[in-house]
Amino acid sequence: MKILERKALADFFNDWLAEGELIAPVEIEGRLYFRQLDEEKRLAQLVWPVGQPGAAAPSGERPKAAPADTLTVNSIKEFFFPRRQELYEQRPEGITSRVARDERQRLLLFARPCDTRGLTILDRVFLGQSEDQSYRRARQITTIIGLHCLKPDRHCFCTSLGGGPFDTEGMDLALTPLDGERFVARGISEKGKKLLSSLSGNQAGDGERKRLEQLRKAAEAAIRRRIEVPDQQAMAKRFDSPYWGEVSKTCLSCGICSYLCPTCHCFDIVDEGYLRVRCWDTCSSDTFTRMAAGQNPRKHKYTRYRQRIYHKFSYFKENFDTYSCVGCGRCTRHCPVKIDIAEIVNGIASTSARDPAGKAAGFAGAATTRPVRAGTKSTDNGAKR
Amino acid sequence: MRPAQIYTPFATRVRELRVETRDVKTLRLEFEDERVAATFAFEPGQFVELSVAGEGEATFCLASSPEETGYVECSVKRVGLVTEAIHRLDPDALVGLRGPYGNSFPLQRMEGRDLIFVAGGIGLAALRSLIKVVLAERGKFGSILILYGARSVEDLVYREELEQWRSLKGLKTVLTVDPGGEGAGWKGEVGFVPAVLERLKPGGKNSTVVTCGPPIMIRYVLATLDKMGFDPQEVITTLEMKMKCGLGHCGRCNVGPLYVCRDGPVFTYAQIREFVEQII
Repeated sequence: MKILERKALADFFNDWLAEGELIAPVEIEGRLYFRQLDEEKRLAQLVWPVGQPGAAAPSGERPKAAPADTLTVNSIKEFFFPRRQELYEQRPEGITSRVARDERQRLLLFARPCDTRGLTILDRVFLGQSEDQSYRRARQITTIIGLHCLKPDRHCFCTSLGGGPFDTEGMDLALTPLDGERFVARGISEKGKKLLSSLSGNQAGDGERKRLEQLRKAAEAAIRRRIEVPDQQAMAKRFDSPYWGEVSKTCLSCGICSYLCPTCHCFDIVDEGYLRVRCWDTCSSDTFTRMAAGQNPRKHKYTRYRQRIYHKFSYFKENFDTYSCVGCGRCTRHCPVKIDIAEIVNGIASTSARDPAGKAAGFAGAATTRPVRAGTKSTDNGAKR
Repeated sequence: MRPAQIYTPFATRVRELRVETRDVKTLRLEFEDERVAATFAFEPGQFVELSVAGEGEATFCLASSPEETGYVECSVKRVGLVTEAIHRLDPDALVGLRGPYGNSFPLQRMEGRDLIFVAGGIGLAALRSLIKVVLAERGKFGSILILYGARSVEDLVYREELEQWRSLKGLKTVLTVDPGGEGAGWKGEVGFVPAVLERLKPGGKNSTVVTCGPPIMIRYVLATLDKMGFDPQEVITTLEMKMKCGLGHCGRCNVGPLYVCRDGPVFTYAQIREFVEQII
């Protein structure tokens, strides 16, 4: 554990920029976004974490109040699983791969614990069965310097899902801001440990360790929001509940929840002229499962919203032994109609259960007596599009 | 032989584009690279992603037998952009092919059993590969019934093969068309596939049913088989859902904890009983 001065870090980042790329939070119209730093503006764009709870930004750096302590709008996933990625070119004459291979080494700065943990969840999808080579490559060329959260906001609930504001999963090196000028740094991965040993700074003393512990406790205590996911059986029993029609009533199917989510990994493959391109997609769109002949297994909006919740909190758990939610709160923070995922998940248990035995009986009865899904007729505005 | 990148398809050329019906054509593709042609292998039930330059990519089951080497066949019903483009392909046109993907029919487990194939419309394409393999090793299986139906006489695919199957001994082939689709001179059955299945009362304890067809047909066939007392473990179907990647990554064919592309497309009824309502 080392104490790094801001100056030492800035020197290191500047050195890095000579050879590689830097991805870091930058401020755009009063909000933070992860962006690749511009070659010319370089570190001038970087938004440094403020540090102490409530502390002001170092004077002269950022005149207007910047949300330095807040979570970026976008997660870090797009630097591994791009929003749009050219796969190959298919012309009538032949097929040529377009996946770039000669990328420079990248340093990803100030990634929050929820985001780095989210990346380890994406790993299970893209590095598991049928490894995605471009994702693997992006993982390999990126060194992640994480940043602990001192001021979680009211939408954060990472502590309910195995994470925490001082979590280090998925980071190479973890930073905790002590004040505007000093950071406690810990090497997490081998890559991160090696990197830390190359940076100049003093070893952390007892005072700093104590301070770190205080900060951790304060940050964890600041997270008031809880999410309690019902067990798989309880989830299964509520699948046919009218609850899903009620909670998705106001959903616009805009997909912002999926796009900002650090763990949502669904995508589309589309043609742009002769280019075949992979781009993000969302299960809330009714075209997501609509087939060419017109039939759509999830034609009702409530079935799509339900899919999102069950995929995250039931199916993913069954397949990968973890929920595909890290409690970053982005979907809630940015939802135009204020749909609150934690509230919805917490409400599942108190809705009336329906024994799925009826379904286990298969089609013998179901073909003639389909269960009536109350609450869907009047609420589903997506079905008749 | 695998491509360098998981999404890069093999290049194939159109060798034949056979008209089956007014909206179905069977596409025969040969691999451009001889090494790919020599090593490309699949099992009945698996599928591929076919792509046309500037038009897109779509999912098709392999309808030829794995034992026919040097080419593969897919039967394509014209319903959307990609299928429309495939129908218009010129001889020798380039088609991208990724795969094979998914699991396959449990051939070994089917050995020694009486087999009942129940297909509707273009659904027969998914069973054709399997039927060809079974017929090539006829001795390994018990009695065989093929029940195939379509909307009308004009919509029956694989006419030549149907005739051939009908002429084979030790194999019963029953053809049916939906009421109103029979036309003059039709000698087969008239009625929806599930109804004809119920009338035929096939099978016994040693039977395995394999079914594929339009969702509504599968739905009622499964209900009928349930009613007739078939063991859900011995009822096998192959499902269709919108797919993009074929690898279990893109998320769209997810139903319950299953991915149709990765865990299927072949499932026993027992496996999907809980979720099948969400698909068909």
